[in-house]
Amino acid sequence: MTSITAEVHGRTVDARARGAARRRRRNRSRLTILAFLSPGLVGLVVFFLYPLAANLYYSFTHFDLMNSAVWAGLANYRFMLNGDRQIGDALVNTLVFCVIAVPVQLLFALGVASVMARVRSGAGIYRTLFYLPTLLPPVAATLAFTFVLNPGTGPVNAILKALGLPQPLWFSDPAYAKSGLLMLTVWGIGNTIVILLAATLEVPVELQEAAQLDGANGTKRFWHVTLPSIAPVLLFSTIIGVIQSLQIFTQPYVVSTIVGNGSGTTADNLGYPQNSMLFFTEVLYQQGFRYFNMGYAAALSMVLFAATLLVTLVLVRATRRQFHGDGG
Amino acid sequence: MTHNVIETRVSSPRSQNEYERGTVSKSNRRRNRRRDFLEGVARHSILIVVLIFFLAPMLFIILTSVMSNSQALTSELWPNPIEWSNFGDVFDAVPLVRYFFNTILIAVLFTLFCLVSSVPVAYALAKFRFKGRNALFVVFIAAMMLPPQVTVVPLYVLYAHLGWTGTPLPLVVPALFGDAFTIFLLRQFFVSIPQSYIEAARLDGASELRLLWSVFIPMVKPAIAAAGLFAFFYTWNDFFNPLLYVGSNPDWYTLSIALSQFRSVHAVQWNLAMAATILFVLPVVVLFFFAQRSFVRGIALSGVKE
Repeated sequence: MTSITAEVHGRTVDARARGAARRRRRNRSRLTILAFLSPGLVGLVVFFLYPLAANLYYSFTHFDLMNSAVWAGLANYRFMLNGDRQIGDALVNTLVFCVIAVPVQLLFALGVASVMARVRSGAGIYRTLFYLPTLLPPVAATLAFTFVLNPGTGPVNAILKALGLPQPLWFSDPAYAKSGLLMLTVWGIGNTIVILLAATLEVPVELQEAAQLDGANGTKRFWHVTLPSIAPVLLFSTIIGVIQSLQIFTQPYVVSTIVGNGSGTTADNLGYPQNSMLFFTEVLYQQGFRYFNMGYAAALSMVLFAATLLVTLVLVRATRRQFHGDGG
Repeated sequence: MTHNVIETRVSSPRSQNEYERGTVSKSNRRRNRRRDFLEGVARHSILIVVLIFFLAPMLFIILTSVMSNSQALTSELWPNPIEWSNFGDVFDAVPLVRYFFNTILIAVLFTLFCLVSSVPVAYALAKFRFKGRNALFVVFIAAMMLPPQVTVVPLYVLYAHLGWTGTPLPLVVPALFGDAFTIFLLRQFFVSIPQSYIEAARLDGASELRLLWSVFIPMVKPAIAAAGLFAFFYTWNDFFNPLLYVGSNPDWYTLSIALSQFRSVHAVQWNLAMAATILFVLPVVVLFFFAQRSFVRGIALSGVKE
């Protein structure tokens, strides 16, 4: 209707009117877009950008929440490097756990997912059953594991005993505590299995068939067809896995609280047994919210932030070179 | 499903020989079928064996939850006699009703708030064209991947100034301002909806808000349900934030906090501890089975980086 009227009325007048209308519409739609985005934008500023900046500032101060923050320069970071007895243990534990747990979790999930992708029927049922343990809230799963692995009467040691095998003290033995934690995290790997299964099933069948015609066997096809196809998803899972391992808190906290029970308050048990289960974020929690050394906790947060950022960048760059660099 | 079948056929190594020879004899075909069958058996066996290890702990939890206290302290695996009364006794041992109420209240409010605030943001990111849209999306992804411990000190200070520590307010109020993961997930769902439906309604002169409410949202109900489930599960399961903000106030304990202290308060009553665990898990499992399809699709989608 409008276009017909425009033609009748001639060009010069109409063009100006149309321009103004367009500008009005654009302004209005800009306001609309801003209105739709506003909750998210406010959220980003208040809960992401502001805390990041404030955290950087707090990390250079002494601050106990009661009195206002006092500038302390690099004192917190210096204390971290030499002075804090706990943070060394926590750092080593966290890195060791990260380096071992992430590959184990991913290889396990990838193995299960690729076998599942190849069964003719029942993949859906397997997926549901493998996902069940992941539904357990971390505290519930951890409590369950402290029972299943309890050294005296736990079912695992009962079975090991019946089989005539050695029965470790699990969460009570510094040498075995992290193995228990590893099993606990592999038990809850359902998300990654579902993600990798979906990615594997999306690999185009034609690609598989073409490789088949070229004479590639099952292993070769996995390396040269399936793996490159699911590489982006695998990278994403790796990054998420590393970030989650670096910030692991609930499971070791609950294990130490429950198993280390008997020696006074909860705070004294962090890291039980013998600091073998002391992780980075636990020290952060203890310093910030039990001792109220908020400045020092902020400095620890900055280290966690830097580590997260670094790992993400390194992984993204390394994978890009691997899969896109030589292919063109 | 056809997908699986094709892949299974392709993956068996013998068909390579067929192409070389050009013909497939009858006996050959029979041998192939047998090999397919054996490979299938092998795959199912692998999965079942791994699954036994995976499900055994759950079986132990269930069995122990119906044992008598004295039997739970032995290494017997099978309950005898079966004590269903544990599920009642556990309510006497801890104020479980109160903790259930707290947890449900916090999880429901968080879920509602975060959907109401995140849906428009995700819609704008998926359906409006504007400068800096992709950059903004990347910022949301960064916010999503950031460990919560990185921002916890300034936020705790903020809540302490507001007098909110010791109350559930810090656990639900932030959800009013969008949740990065929910926005990310919804946006991934929304981009797959064809633009044409919206354009048609827009030409009819509907306002953008009306468009979102009465045209778009009815089309994406399953997606919103999935995102809501994720938000609910996240809050239901969360331990770190409740520990910080209500960990010092038993009136507002969530089930996670209560369960983490169960053993220190109640010595070695494994049977009651496992009964409480089951009660804690049950709502999540029931919800999962009701909404499994959209939930699983949501998980798969959250792993696709686009």
